[in-house]
Amino acid sequence: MDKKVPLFTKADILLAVILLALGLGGMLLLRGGEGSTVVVTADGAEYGRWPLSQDITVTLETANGHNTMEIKGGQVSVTEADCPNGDCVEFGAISREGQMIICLPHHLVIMIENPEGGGVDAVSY
Amino acid sequence: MRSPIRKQSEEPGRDPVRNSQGARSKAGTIAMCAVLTALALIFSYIEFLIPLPIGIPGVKLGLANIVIVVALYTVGARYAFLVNVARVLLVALLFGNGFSAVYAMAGALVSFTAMYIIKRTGLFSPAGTSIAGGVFHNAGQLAVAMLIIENAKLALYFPVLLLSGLFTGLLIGALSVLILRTLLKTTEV
Repeated sequence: MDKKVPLFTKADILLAVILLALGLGGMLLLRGGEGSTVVVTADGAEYGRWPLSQDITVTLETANGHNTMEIKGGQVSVTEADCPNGDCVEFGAISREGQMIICLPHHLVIMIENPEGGGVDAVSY
Repeated sequence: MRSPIRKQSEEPGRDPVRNSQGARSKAGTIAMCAVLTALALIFSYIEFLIPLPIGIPGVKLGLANIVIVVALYTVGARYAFLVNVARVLLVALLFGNGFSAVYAMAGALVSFTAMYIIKRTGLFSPAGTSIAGGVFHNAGQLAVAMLIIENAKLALYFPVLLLSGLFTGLLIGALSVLILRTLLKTTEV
């Protein structure tokens, strides 16, 4: 092959810019306001909900294992879990509406909602 | 095309698995695929041993995709596909678990399809191909996660995965281009 492999073509740059805009736009659009309720879902069914304002440590027991969830100072995080990868702990603490902690092996989603005002689809700045 | 001329292969600086027309023999291609699969396996293993901290849970750099991109541009789509599937199966068998294999395979298949289509357009460099691969890998995994976890709200996580796929794809793609340049120069793959 005598032609040098190009590093970036115009189409590459266009693709990257479009994806960047979509990603940033999506993040901005989906960025929620202050959350009020922690909703835990396991295997598609609601497991329980807790107010974000009340400090509490809960062990979430599901068919696939357990995760220790801690609500502290208006933030929620998973401090310990018996899943193989520990991604849920890596998510850190979340507090905004629409943010979530996902534990794939346990089919568990911890999500912050705000049932009183707006919805996740509402745009707030 | 296959050539019976053996003499060519003994000339210095000549790729021994090529015939006089410069085309790779089938045996040569298969040997190359074996090397690529082994390399992909090692990359996956390195990433398994030392997960590079990207800061986004569940997101990896995807070092092994360097091999898949290089394979697409050297041995062709059909063989690259086989290398990809072999890699995922071997990784699952050696150091994965049942649950990770489903996600890995979904990501690999969706990513490969996207890369194949992007490459076919002829408009993109391997870097663009890799970007599409990164983004669609994450999209495929998220789709499977939504099915398995039965939670459509996971889709809200997509912008984060889109951006991480873009950046990891860009990095992997740039590396792939550099590798392809050297590879094409030395072996005229």
